[in-house]
Amino acid sequence: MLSLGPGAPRGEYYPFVNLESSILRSSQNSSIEPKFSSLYAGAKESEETQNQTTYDLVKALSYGDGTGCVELVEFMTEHVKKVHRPRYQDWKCILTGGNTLALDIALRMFHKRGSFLLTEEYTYTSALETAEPLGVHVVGIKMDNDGLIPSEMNNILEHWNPEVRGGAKPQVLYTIPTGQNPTGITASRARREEIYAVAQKHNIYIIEDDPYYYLQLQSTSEPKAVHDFQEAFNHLQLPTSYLNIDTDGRVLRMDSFSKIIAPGVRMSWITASEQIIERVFRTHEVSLQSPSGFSQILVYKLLSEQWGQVGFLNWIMGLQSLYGERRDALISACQKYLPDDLVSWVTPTAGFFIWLKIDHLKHPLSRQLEPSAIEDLIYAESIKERALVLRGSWFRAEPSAQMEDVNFRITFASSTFEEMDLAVKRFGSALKRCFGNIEQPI
Amino acid sequence: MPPLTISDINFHRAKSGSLPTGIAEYISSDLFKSSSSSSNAEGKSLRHRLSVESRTGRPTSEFYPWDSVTFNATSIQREISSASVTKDISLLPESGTIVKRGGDYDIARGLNYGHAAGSPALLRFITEHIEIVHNPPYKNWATCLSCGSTSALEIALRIFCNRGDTILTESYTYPGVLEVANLLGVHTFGIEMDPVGLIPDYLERTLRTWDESRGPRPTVLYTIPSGQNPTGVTQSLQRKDSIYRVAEDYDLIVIEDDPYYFLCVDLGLDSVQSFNGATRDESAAISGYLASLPSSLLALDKSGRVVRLDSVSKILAPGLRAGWVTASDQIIDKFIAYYEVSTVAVSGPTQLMLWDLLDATWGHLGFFSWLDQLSIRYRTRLRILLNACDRYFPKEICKWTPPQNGMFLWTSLDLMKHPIILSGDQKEQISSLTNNPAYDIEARILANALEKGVQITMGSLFDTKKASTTEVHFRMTFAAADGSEIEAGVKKVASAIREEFAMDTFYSSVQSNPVKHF
Repeated sequence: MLSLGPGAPRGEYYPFVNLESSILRSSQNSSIEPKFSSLYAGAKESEETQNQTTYDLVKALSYGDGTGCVELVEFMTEHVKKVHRPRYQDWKCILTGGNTLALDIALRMFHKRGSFLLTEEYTYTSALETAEPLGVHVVGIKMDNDGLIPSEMNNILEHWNPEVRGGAKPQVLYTIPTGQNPTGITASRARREEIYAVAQKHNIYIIEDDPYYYLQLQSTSEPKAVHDFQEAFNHLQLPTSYLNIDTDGRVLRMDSFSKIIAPGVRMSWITASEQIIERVFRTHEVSLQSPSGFSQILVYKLLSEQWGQVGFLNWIMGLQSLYGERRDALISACQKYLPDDLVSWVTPTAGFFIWLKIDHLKHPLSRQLEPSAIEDLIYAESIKERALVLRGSWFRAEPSAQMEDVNFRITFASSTFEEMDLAVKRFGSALKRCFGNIEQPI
Repeated sequence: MPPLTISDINFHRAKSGSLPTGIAEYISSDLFKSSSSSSNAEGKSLRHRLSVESRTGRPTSEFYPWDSVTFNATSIQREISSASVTKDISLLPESGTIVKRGGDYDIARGLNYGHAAGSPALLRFITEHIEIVHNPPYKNWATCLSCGSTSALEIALRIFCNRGDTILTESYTYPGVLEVANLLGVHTFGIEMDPVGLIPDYLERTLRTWDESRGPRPTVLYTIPSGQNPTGVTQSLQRKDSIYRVAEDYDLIVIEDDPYYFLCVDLGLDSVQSFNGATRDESAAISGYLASLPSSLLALDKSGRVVRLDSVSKILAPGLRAGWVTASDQIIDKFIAYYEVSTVAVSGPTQLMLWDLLDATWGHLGFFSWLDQLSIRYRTRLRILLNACDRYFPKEICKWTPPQNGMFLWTSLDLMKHPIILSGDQKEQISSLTNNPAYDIEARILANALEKGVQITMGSLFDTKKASTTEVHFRMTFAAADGSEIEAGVKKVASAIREEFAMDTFYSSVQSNPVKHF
């Protein structure tokens, strides 16, 4: 076919000819030196390359369709099939430009201005910030140490009064089920099943945002290269996802490369029923089109051609023990420096965050001061000590409601061990100073 | 103060200090503008032009806890090396290696979270580039990166339009704008065009006589000013002036979507260049190239009402999914806020490779050299296409005007010469809305051409009015096929047209009795 049709430039007019990358082995236990480098051949003068079946640089740099690199989608589909084993037939995967974009697309797909969205009572700030300009109101559901409480969710829906609430009953739940941001909580399988049942009862669609899924924190393991998929999979101790529980196709699952490969690739994958994926695809066509070709070819070559399905899991195993060690370090700093009559926490089993609960009633001025004022005081004292912690109130789903608890979020994601130790020590002194005259009778 | 030129860049950079190096640190093109630019007056306030959605406070990066969720970049070691260009484009082959850490920009930063405006090293280059090429004549202009113009256009419409609004476009326009507008519940209204672009009088009359029962009077004009898709038309400077004046009078936002700007295919340029011949040096060639670029609407914009969209898709590679937006800082702040809650930033690998290519390897001079060479290549292809059209197309039916920019040739076929019209008494009928045979004729030619093995794009795809017409249009591109394929393709298209118009039988019999048409 001679083409005088679409206005797409020829591959030979792209200025990148080839691309070489040095990458790490998937397993940390392999010797340190070896790097695989691969040549991603680019523009040739003939059209032969464009007809080749493999994903090369010319393909990566050309217009893609809204699904993204087909070969990488296949890899992720295979991965999802093995890891989540979806129970219904017409599920599909699509690549998108990161979970933040995925959420923007999902919220626009399911909401009109003035409608309501259910979330955990504390949630990812960017989710709140995405909802607000779209005119979507957020309703927070109370949580316990096992995540959002199904009976609370049922209550809200059961007794929803459109006139009092100023809008129709919510139709969507946004949840971060693993290593929740900010509380660090991972909901158990039983809890997820209960929530799913409530969702079924009230016909609620579930947006499962799960960037910390793979980061199950393992303290003791000495990871070694595992060559069997099932063995590696068992080792990862991944929780049961809503996608796995889903029999109706009411779950849109968002997975991201940000925490397991690199945030800068701006890529994630969505798994949902075919009709939903088709809508995402249409939205891509008039916005992002597809993730960056360079991002796609780098990740594709890394996962599909270098690591493979088992290698990918090995890499995740390495990350799990790496972050496990970091979690342990931050927890032991907390045990060492934080006054245990004032601060409590649940040691997270996944993710990046420790959620510190402060017993604000022990503050000498607790009768006069609102919890939010006590949070202010602690925060100011902490900044004075030069320790950055994030206030719990930032993450409140309903900031206008009465604030009852004082919490702070700390992370073990990126600081050095010495920095973490020092930061917690400083936060501890800030707390002690703030609650200073605690032992003295007033 | 004289405007910024390529030769000022080193001095200008030395004066403005070092680049911010933090992770996702605040960044703005203001850091990289020259003092000449800041001596201009400020643009106007645009708050009254914002949609309900974008008027709501969107976050700024200060409210993102990214500092505490950074990926441990030391656990990933990558070296990306890029060789530069193909042999047949006469630029020096160069290669660069982007290291893990060090220099203005590196892997560790590129693969981490980044500020939505762009990485500092790349944004600096782009800001300088904008100032050299367009020198926006007001003070508070700004630039940020985009995930390509399709994405930027969607965000622009979300910033300026509410559901039920109408935007103005050229009467034939890029179908993507029609699709995205439709998705957002925004209507489109096409403005008549002539050979130098959309007609300012029509624009003015449309606004003046707007019937509010169709919804609020439009406040946004979307235009593709150079090598327009699909007509190939480039607006003259005088035309742009007149359009801008209407925009001022009616307080319009002008979205200037200009992906073909740098593809100068005016065939007159070749004779000038070959005349100067081998003696000219690179910088003389570049001055010649820069002089051949049209003036943009951005370059005329004193009020800050133009939102200019640039894309690398046609000049570097579409798969990069990158471009840049230049507008008043009030608008760029909105773009950044939208990106913060959607794509977050342009892909790190894309930014690394763009920076490595444009700034570290080519520099401004090298980039313009590339664009100049690319334009020369496209001119060669266009010449082949035009020669083939001259040779094969029936001139009594087909009309086309050589484009000055871009990659498209727009051909109009005169339906009044079609045997169906000539044979029957259908001249009345064709200008009435019912029973217009134009779409059937178009579809038949397209199908016939496909059967012969050539793909062309039908004009009705771009038509905003979908009304009765006395012409059928086709868009042909000289971007995709190579020289011999172009010639073979045109020959096949010509024979499909000849067959549809029954050139060898019916038409030759009426030649002696030509039909007058308007």
